[in-house]
Amino acid sequence: MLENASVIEAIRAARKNDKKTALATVVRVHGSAYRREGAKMIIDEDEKRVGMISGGCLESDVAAVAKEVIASGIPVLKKYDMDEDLVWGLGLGCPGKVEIYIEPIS
Amino acid sequence: MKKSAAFDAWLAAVEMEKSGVIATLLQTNPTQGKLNSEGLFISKDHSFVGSLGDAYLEEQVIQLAKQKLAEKNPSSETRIFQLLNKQEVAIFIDVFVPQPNILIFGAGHDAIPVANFIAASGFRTTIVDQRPLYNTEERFPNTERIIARAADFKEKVIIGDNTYVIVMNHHLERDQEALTFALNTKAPYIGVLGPRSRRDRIINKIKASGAAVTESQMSRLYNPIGLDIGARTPEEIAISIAAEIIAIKNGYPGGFLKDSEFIHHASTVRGENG
Repeated sequence: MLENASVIEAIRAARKNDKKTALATVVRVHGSAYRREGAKMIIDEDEKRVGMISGGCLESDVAAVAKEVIASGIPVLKKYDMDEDLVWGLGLGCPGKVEIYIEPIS
Repeated sequence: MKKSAAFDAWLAAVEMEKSGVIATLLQTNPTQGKLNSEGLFISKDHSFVGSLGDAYLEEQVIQLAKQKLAEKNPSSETRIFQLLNKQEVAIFIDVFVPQPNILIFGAGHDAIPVANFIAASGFRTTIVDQRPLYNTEERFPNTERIIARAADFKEKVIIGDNTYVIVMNHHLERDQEALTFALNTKAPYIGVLGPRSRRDRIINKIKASGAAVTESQMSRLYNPIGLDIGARTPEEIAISIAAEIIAIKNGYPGGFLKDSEFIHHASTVRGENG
């Protein structure tokens, strides 16, 4: 699988270079979302990202959470309600709720 | 810190393209439980690595993992489990199933866009053709190529139960040889380019040669190949073929999503192919 291969390559590379990383995984989807359960993104301590966990709207926020997760060593379950236009101000209009688990790996 | 044996086992399985499940306790409230859970990996052959910190929980998770690994199109999901003390925990069951390999018989010009779209979609793609001038890396980047004639298929070409086959030699005799070979493998999909009359001609020739063609073999034969999108150019035909292969891999019927209430089905209600 092309996508999994690139995420795994990123994990291997981070380990080789002694970089701390966090793994973000879509663990629950209610309604519609671009990515389904199991989609992954790897974020390293330099905020380099590989993989997609949404159509592009959640990646930045997840990367910011990942930074905290890398610092604290404590995993975070983040819930996003894609319909909350007020929160996002983006007007995505996608009626989905997505939960993303962000955990430190090394 | 997730530097667990289970996670490493999962990484190795994905790299080696072997099915497996990793179960991760979603630690939503660190003060809630006292489970010392580093994750549990369950391989296709049901061996385990790691732990979830609770034997009763592990038993339930392993049972679900085995069930998922036996499904044809298992989906990853979060499940709530109850411990003996009635405490509820959320476990993410992450299922990895390797993508099918795609094997194309025929290295003609029209195979180029087919190989391109299929390789770009993440499938390991192999081209089989006896002509070294056609079956080149330059024409088919990101693929493996096997220069072989029919007499060498048995020795050089491996088709397993996760290999999808496309027959597009534009040559009656070579198509017959490729199809004869492919029908006697476990390939779940054998697509044959060309109209049905041509397919029937080939099948009749195979039968005339004394080989039996069973119903089970015919059920894996897809001809005319592709989804019904009126494809005319090599690129359109390639999209039609790639879309058919994706639909079959995912157990979906193809067709328009227009006005559908859902985009993805629950894994239990997937199409007949699933």
